[in-house]
Amino acid sequence: MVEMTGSKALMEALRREKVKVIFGMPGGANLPIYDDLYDSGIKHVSVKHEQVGAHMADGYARVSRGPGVCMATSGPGATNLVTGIATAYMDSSPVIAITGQVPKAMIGRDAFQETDVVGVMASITKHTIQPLSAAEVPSAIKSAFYIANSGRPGPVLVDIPKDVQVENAEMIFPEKLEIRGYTPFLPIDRVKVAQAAEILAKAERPVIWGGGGIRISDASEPFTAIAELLNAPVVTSLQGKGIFPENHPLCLGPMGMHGRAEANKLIGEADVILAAGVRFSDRTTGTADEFGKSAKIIHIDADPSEINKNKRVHLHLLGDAKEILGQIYKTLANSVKRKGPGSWIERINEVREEMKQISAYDTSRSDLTGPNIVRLMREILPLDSILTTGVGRHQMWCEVHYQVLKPRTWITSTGLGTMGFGLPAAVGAKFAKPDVPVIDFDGDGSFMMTETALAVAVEERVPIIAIILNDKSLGMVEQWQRIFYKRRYSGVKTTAGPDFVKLAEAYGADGRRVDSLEQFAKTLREGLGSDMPMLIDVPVDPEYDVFPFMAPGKSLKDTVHGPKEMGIF
Amino acid sequence: MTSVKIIAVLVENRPGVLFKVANMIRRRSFNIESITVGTVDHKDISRMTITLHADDAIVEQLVKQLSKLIDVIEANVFTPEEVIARELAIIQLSPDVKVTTDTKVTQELRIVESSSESLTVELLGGPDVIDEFLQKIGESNVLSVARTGITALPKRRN
Repeated sequence: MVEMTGSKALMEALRREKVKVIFGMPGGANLPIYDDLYDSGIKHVSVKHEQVGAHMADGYARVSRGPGVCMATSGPGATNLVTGIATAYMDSSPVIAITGQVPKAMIGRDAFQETDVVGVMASITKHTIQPLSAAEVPSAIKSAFYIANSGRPGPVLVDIPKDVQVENAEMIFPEKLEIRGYTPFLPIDRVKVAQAAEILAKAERPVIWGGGGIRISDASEPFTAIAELLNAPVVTSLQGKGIFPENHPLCLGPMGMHGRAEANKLIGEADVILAAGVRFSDRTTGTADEFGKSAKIIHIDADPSEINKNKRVHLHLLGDAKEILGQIYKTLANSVKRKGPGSWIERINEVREEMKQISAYDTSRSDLTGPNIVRLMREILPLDSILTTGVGRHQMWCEVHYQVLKPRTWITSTGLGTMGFGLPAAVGAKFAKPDVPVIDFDGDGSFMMTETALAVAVEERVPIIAIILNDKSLGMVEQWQRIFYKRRYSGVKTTAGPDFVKLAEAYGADGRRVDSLEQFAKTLREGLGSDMPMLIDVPVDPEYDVFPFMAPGKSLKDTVHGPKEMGIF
Repeated sequence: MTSVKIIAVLVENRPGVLFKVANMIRRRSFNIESITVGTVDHKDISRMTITLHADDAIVEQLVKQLSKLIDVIEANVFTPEEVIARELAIIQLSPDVKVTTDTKVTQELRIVESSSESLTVELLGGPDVIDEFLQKIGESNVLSVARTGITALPKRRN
């Protein structure tokens, strides 16, 4: 046992968790922490705005597998974290938020910069902890890291009153913790594994569907093995892109509101759906009643509360996806021979051929359209490049046209759909993997929400590339107003807007504008070889919409393939 | 199907836990009919007994979400038939009311105070017993009522 302050104990606990970088902002209520951070040996990134810091920690966490840590002071510092923490919560990302709080005696008295952040964060975190004495700090940090990154991961808030930071106490740093209300994984039910294998072995038209849970549990290997053994096509959710190489002959791509047309069609013909690490989100499945109507559904998830939440399933298996899929594969491999291409694969190829004709996949244009830019970008980017996105049409064009080939190289906000996620997430990702290219593929609307992250990129010399599809509009909202609101464009148009090239230069980054695909390719290649952040402004036509499109409240079979079928041209 | 559900929750006995449990119930837009909280044989564990009207499927989901809270050690849902449930009521009646054999719905009814202003009785039993008493005594005779809400344990069966 050693005596030290709560704040020093915090640094020691963070070192013990092997924290390498903290994305944060100092302020009145966390000054003691920042004083100890000064010579802690832990890298601190000054984030300019706490939301930016939370997204950076999130991007870092999704790439590195470990928790990402962000820090903020009390009050406005803490409330600025909210969007970032909610984003991490919806996408099950292990983010640790450490906030300073006003001294205990001031709590509840509307003190300067006091916010009840524990109350505010309760429904958007996996857990909240407020140590009320310095001696509680080591176990608070130990449990925060354990809870954030085990089972179904999620953000954890540790809110430390200022007097607790400066208080002295005899500290015990626990090596292990038992939390009786928390069992991240129960033992896997072997009977259910056998049942799942039997259903899959008998399936005539199986589809394997994977989501973010496969990335989180690093389960791509057994996932792929099952698909190949059964010769079964694979679909993913948007979060699941990359868990299975999208250039694999069995990959149909993502399904959903802007999924691949072949995925949206063929899922409806399956007799068995193996759904692993997914949560049956409305954006992925369409109306729950119609989804998988004629199929037996097997659901694998780490979180018991996901079972039967949006869709009643025939069989569910709880636990770690990697372990469960591994066991299912073993059981299957013992009983079935590798299946050859039968009538199901023939049907799949037939649908693929048919879908090649749809206007959403048309490749005859050679101008700066979203799909053209995305496809060209994929050709240029090295295999292991990490792509982050904002939220909107640019993100959906990536969903349809950007083939993700490796897990953890596709970082996007799907659950909360947070505009402004892309740029800070890219900076965070670059801290996790400094040796691979990191690109934020963004829209002008999303970019402007967190553009201060560019100041951080320049300050920290992280050479990320931000590509902005600039339609001077909130393009996705505009598309909906075009389709559902008779082209009454309400609140979507940017009539002035910044000159993004000058903006980049003002921040000290390399700003470029391109007006052809050739120029885009050349500039992107230059950016990949550069050691400073680059912004590429790409003017695009706001009237060019994203398809395929399943309208909200519809089912996957109602997917519309182009503007003509939608009746808007 | 909507019906009365009793949710038994064992939680860590520390500040903020009641808020987290209630907040989760609020999120699913349930109205809590009653909630009782008290420690069990371990002083660091509390038992919450929550009564609400809910649909079977939604309450199943709610209980899973409650179980997910780190401070919740265990959460289970029961129908009224599956538990031994008791509730205490203190009821002030008009001073001229007589509790007769007809209105004495249970042996566990005691007169705790009698004055010129009121007759106060205490009544212990299942929630239906208290409802029955109130109904028999008649609304116009009741001055005020305080009910604890039920506390319950599941019946043990072989």
